[in-house]
Amino acid sequence: MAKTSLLAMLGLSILVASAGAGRAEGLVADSVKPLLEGTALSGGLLPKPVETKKTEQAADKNLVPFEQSTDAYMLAGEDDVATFTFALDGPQVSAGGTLNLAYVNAVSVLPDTAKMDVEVNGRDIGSFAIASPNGTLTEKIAVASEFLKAGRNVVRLRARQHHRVDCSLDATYELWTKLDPASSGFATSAASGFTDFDSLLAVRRNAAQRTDVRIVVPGALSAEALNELAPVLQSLILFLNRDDVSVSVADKPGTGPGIDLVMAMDRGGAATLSKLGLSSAPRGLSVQGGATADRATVVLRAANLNDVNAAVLAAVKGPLADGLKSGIFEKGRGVLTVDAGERRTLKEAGYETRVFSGRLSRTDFAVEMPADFYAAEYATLDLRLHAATSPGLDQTAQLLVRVNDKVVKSYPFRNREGEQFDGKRIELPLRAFRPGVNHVELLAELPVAADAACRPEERDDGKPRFILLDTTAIEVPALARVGRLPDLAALAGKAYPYGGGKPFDLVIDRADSQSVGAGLTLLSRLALSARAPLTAKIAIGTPTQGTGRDALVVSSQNEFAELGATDKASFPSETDISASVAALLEPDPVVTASVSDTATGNETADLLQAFHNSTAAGEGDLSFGSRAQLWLSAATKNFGRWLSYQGDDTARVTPHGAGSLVTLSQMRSPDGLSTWTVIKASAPRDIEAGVNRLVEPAIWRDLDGGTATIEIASLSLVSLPAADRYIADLQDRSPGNLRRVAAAWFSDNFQIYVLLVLACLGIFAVWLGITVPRKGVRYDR
Amino acid sequence: MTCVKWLAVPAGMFGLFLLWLPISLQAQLILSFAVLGVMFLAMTRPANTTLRLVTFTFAGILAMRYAFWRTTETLPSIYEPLNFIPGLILYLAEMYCLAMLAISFFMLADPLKRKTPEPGEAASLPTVDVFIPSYNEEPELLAGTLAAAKSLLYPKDKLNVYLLDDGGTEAKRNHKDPRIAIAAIRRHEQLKALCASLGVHYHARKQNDHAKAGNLNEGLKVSNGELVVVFDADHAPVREFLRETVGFFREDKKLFLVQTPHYFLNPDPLEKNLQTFARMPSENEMFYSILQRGLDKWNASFFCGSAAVLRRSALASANGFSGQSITEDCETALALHSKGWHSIYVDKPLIAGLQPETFVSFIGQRARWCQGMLQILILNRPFLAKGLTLAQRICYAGINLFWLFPLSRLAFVFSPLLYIFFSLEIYQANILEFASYAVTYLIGSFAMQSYLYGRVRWPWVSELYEYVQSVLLFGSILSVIRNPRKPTFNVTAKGQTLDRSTLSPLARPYFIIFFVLLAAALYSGYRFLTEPVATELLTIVAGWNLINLGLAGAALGVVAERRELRRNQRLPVKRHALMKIDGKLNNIIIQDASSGGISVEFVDKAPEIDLETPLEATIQLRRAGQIIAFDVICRSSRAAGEGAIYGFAYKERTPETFMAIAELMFSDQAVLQERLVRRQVRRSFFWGTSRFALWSIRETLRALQYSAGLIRESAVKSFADAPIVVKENNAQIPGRAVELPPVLTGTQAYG
Repeated sequence: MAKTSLLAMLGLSILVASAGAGRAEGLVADSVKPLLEGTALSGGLLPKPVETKKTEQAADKNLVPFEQSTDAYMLAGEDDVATFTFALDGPQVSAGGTLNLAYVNAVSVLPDTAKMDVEVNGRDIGSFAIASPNGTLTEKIAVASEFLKAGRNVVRLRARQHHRVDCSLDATYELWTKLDPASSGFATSAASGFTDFDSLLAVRRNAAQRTDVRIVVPGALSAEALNELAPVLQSLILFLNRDDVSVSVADKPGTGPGIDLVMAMDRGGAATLSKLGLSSAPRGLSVQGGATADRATVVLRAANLNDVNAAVLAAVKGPLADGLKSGIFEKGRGVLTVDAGERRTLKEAGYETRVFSGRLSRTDFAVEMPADFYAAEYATLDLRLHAATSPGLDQTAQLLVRVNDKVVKSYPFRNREGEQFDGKRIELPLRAFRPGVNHVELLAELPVAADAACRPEERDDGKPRFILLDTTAIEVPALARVGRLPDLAALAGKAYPYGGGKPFDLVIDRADSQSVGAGLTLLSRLALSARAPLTAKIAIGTPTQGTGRDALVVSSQNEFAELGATDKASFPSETDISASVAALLEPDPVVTASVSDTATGNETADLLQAFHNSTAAGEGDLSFGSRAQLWLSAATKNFGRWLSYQGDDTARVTPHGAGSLVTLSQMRSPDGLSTWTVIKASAPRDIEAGVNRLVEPAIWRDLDGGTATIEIASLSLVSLPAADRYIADLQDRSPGNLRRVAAAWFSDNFQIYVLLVLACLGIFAVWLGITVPRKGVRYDR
Repeated sequence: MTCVKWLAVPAGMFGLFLLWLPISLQAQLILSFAVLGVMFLAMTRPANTTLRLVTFTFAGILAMRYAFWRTTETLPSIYEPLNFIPGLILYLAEMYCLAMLAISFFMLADPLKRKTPEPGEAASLPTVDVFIPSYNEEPELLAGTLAAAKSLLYPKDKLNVYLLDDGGTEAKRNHKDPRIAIAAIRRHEQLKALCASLGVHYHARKQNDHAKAGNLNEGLKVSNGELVVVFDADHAPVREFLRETVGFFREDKKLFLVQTPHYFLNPDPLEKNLQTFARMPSENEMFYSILQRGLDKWNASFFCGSAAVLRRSALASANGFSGQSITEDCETALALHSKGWHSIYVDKPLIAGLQPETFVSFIGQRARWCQGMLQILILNRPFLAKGLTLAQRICYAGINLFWLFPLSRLAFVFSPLLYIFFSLEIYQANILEFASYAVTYLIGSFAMQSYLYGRVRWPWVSELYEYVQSVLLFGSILSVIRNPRKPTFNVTAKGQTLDRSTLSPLARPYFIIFFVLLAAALYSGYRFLTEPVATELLTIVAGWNLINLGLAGAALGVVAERRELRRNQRLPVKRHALMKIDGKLNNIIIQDASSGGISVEFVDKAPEIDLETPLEATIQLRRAGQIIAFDVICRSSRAAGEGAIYGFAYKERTPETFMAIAELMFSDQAVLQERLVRRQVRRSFFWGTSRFALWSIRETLRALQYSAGLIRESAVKSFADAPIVVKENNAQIPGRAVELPPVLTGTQAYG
């Protein structure tokens, strides 16, 4: 038992160690790193590790944390808005408290004009100057009880910040203010224990900034036990609505902040309860305080699976209902869930109209496309722009639309006298979208002539340049609907093909706590994506063929099979552990090549390429012939890329082959009847660490293609496109949909299209050529 | 064959389904390349009908893909009316062009080349009445035509020639304006005498009702031949005319029409002012050498008002020539086709005529055609007309719809300006889309143009003709749409001269458009230099505007009229004759002939000729043992190689002289054929484009020079033509002279 928790802790600490040594470095979300590294001016932009005042953090025991996960804590650019929620109960509301905002900002931010406005539940509660470039500073804003409400409260922060010395557009990427998730939140004056379900929403994160859910299952991890706990776990996760949950399984409760879910089935649960001192727990689902003040315990007492389901249903209809409604089912938190033919305004995504007075206006939101949507060119997704520009903008002013981090459209603001757009249609290519969640950014580049000089006396950072109205909308065209797998984006965004109520099997090849934990973590994350509990039947062993049921397979490749299956999980020996750790810490052998966009995955070729790159002569020194040749080869290459639907900014990261922590891949089952999604690692602990990494919001969001791996060395995600896709589902068989599907498929396979057109119309033309002379007036008459 | 059909038709349907899919640009580009490849391959065997249809089908693929894309992706939002309305107009203009392309593919699916049947025994030949309707053109023009008509190879007892004079009608002779009345009476008398001396029936009706159609119908009343031939006053037939046409009527009892091409001896204003005559195929050759043959395939070749043979009984079944529209010819053919009669087209030039020389009369003629064809479209609705086959409906609709081209052409000229000046986005596409759809379609359509018409039309010349007409025909179209019954027959002026180079009175709008386009070109250049983000669309639009500017520049050359002193059009005849000078016979070769005189080359040593004291001589021509003689007087000489060419004018022009002229000029069809074939040479796109670019620059400069009044021309000494002498009643009709340019007197002829 001790070994299990030791291992869990070890795995976590490894993760923490590899993610970044200092707390402050963790302030920059992983998702933002590529953005910063990708900009030309990114050198040294990452905040230096800053020592934070640990005493201050530790002191605030009554801090109700924000529910959002780590990467939501960044306010970047000149004018950015972040929305957070925290949950309070009645007594906490009456007592009031302070809103603690611990933040650090970029050195480039001009302190004179930088300002953070704070709203709680739609009402202003004040603002403060952003002026803490050298370390985390906690602003405490008193919030009286009338601003608060029981249940979830919404905090809206708006940061306006300008660059100290640089008025260029690029410089706006150097502006950021980052909140510290651990020390930000609402500090109540009334301490509150974990007494009911609503109080669970205030549970704090652990040291790794994850919400820890520990399932306490006495006895062997049988399929029966797992099937009993799955509905409870999923309901709990949906209720919490946190995307940073890590689920672990053990036979005793965890430590530190988190939630223990104690499964006390009648067949042996009484002993467990008494051991934990919870004998008084009522039947069904109940919430109790944990061993420490920051740990909650959820107890389930039931006789069998039916009993469990009844208890869960009662809870969902009763105490969980409000939390679910204000959480997972709440609309307008930056996400637009769309379907074909729909029109959605930015207002529905929670955007509020604001006047923008900087150089680069950034507005982002997520568009959740249907899971079986086929992305191709048969239509465009239209952005209906409602906005206005001010007079005097430079000629280079334009609106850029980025979808999933690629610029897909630029619309120049030509009219220098200012222009008003009342639903201007801007067509976004559907191919830029993918099933599931898509990240859309509207970047308005708004330079004025004075920006070039950037003289302090001429600067007027308060002068408005742009207004984007919340009536700006997206219009989704009729979509081609066909489930084409493998598609990890659809899996991550919509739990496709497991969501939607279709029963499937969750097959875990080994009943050890790590493999099971990984399986349950994945299941929880998928439930969150599907916004509904999944009807999974958990089995231990290998997936069975011929049933036609889809399967989610967790496999650690039975590396330790020789140790023999015991009642409990099979554990590796000490040497195996150290060997695995060593493997985890192994440095990346070709780290230089891996970041080059021409990396081939072949060491020699990469080195040769690097040599050529470093010794290449400047363009000015080349002869005309060589330059023409270079231009020609570049043009050919670009054309080839274009033909294969690759953008020209695709810096492809290729896996090194050796050293993946986990691999997530989707495939058709060998019998061809169903879909298997297999997550595979070489050892149970790897699968646990890997899945925990995989479900981190920044990683999960980027899942795409047919196979995804987490590399050992960098713990970064590498997605590989699916080599071949198959049709898993075609529900809409209307002619319109079939036509769109055909158009999409033929676009992807245009060689076949061209040949078919040539053949069909060629036959027709020849027939016409033979027939026409026989019609009308004939020569031979 | 049936089983092939069961395979081919579904394959075609499936192919259409594939073309109707909204595929990616990548797929489109590769498809376009592949289709162009097949097309070019199939084009290598133009004589093969199967490959011709393959070419059409594949060109159709590009057009259909373009139309699909243009319809589904490039139209501006309806909620942006400033973009949408002009965008829709441009779209409709393009769709019109695509529809015309489709119709032309149908028309040209399999053009026919007819073989002349034997005319048969002389005794069995049908009787023929030749109608020469005239309004008020000069007697000498008529004399030439009448003489040629009288010289037709046909049994004399079966051939009657009628001059149907609408200039000397009773109504005109009794006009309330005495000057008009006197002129009409004089004309009546002169022509009557001329006809009498030539053995031609002269007929002038009472009223001038229903213009040319009414006049022809009057002719039907006073004659009774089985076949009716119509020649315009300036259309002189070659001797073989009836031999080449009458035989068809014996073969097909339901035949109502044999139409032959109109061949012109003189340049039209474009040919004259761009100096392309005799090198570049004439404008009408596209119609007569290609389109009429295509129509013939579908039994839809139609009557063109002249140079045609018609069956009287057929005309009688439709109550004669139709006169509802101002293009009575096409309307008559439509009526007879509707009644199940057949038509035939013979692709051999059998008449030589004149076309309008000045830009004013050229536009006048085109306005009549345009309005008349649209009248038929609106009033007769050929697509819905009863009795026509589907193919005929398509052909007639195409012929009539063609005359809407000014609307589309002007839309193409003005659309780019909306983007250049006002940044209106009426054509929503980026450069990649434009390349994948529009450019490949344009390549395909240029290739098709060359494939179909390359022999008879240089690149860009169609566009130039269209543009030149569009500017002034726009108003005519609006007027006919507003009131389809309003337009009245206006007679095309022919045989005009210009004594000095000058801008046409109609030149102003061409200059205005040119300067607007020039300003747009300069402004687009300015935008290129100053706007870094607008370049993509601007590239397309500015390039397009540049082509328009080139057209407008070349058109300036068309309206800047070069002087035309030649009154009589020469035809190279190269014929041996004897010239009797002072009783001595000299062997000569008549190089060319006109109705004013001849050019002579002496075979042996030329006699001493002093131009100060003009040499008089008699020319003797021999034909079938008979001697045809006429007197000439020497007017000029010029060096030609080792010898010299002497210009002789007819001393006096009697009816016999005109018969001799007809003998000289119109005895051999091969002369016309040879001139036609010589200039029908296919030119490459690049050659044509560079030639066009040259015109654009050269002609713009010339027109600007004219408009600034910088024309240096010396006066040319000229002799008046010999008077026409009709001995019977001693009538004297003065010959033409430079002092009386008809453009000033307003003399007109049917055409």
